Amino acid sequence: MPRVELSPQRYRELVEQSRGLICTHDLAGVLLSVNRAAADRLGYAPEELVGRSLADLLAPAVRHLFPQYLDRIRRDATDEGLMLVVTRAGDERIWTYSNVRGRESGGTEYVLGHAHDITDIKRSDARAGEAEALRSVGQLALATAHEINNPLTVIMASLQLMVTRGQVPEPAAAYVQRAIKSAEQIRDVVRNMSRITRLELSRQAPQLPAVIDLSKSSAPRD
Amino acid sequence: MSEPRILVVEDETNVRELEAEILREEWEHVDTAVDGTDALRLLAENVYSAIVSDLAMPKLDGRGLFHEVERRYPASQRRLVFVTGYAEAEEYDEFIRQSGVPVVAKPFTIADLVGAVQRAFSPA
Repeated sequence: MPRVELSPQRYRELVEQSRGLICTHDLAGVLLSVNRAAADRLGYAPEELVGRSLADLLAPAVRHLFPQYLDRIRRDATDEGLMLVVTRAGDERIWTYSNVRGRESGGTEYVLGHAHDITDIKRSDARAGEAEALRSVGQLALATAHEINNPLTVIMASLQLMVTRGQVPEPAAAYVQRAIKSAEQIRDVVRNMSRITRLELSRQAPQLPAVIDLSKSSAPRD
Repeated sequence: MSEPRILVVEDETNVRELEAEILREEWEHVDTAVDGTDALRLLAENVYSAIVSDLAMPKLDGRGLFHEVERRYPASQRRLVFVTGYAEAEEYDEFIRQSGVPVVAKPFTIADLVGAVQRAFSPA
């Protein structure tokens, strides 16, 4: 395959038109250039960001880690990981970055940064994890209710059987009635818990986008 | 018709014995089976006026028993009553709805159980 030589102009276009999030900054973290995709994601024009510190774009909660990042990139020449950035509108986004230190022909060192916004993936993973945890709790609640029901049946029906057979002497009758009432309370608690749990579990059924929800995509059109 | 005969199908020993004891207060002939397979053995020997069965059981569960009764003894199918807890009923929701078999919820009262069996004697 013939090798294609790209002119500096073509390289610039490649960076500018890339959907990847690309920037360069100096060894103090001051932005030297930002491509259109990265600036758009942050809610700025590229020229608004040049001259500002990359630290300004980090979420306040992680800003104190920025000097450590600069130390690593100075020492190791490469660094990668996750960064939490904040957009002009104040939204926090999670970016995965892979940055390398380079040297211009004049000898000045700089850092080339390349990132992807993985916020949506991370959030949907977190939601899936949360839903899974809730499902497990729900299943446990139903299994517990199932285990309670059989012995509770035996307690309630045995007490009733004693009463209907007239086997409970008068002094004990009040205690037996109290025990039956209490067993009925347990029954109601277990029943309500099962009902609520089942409702929660059915509400958590995965919400599929229309395109892969067969019941929607195959619905007749008229 | 001869004396009513009732079959109790339940894998939990305490519940099974208690159900049988409650029903023996009212009727003389009450047999017990530990699961659906055991119930089929007794169904081959006797004709029952009511079959009171748990749903979740090892070997052959209430659903399997329903289908076997439907296949082997269609006249007895309407004599079935399921006894089950609300917690495990979800797995069987659709089946219960389609089969139309009456359900007694655990924990039941004596009146619940006896009433359901009486209704099974002369199903609507």
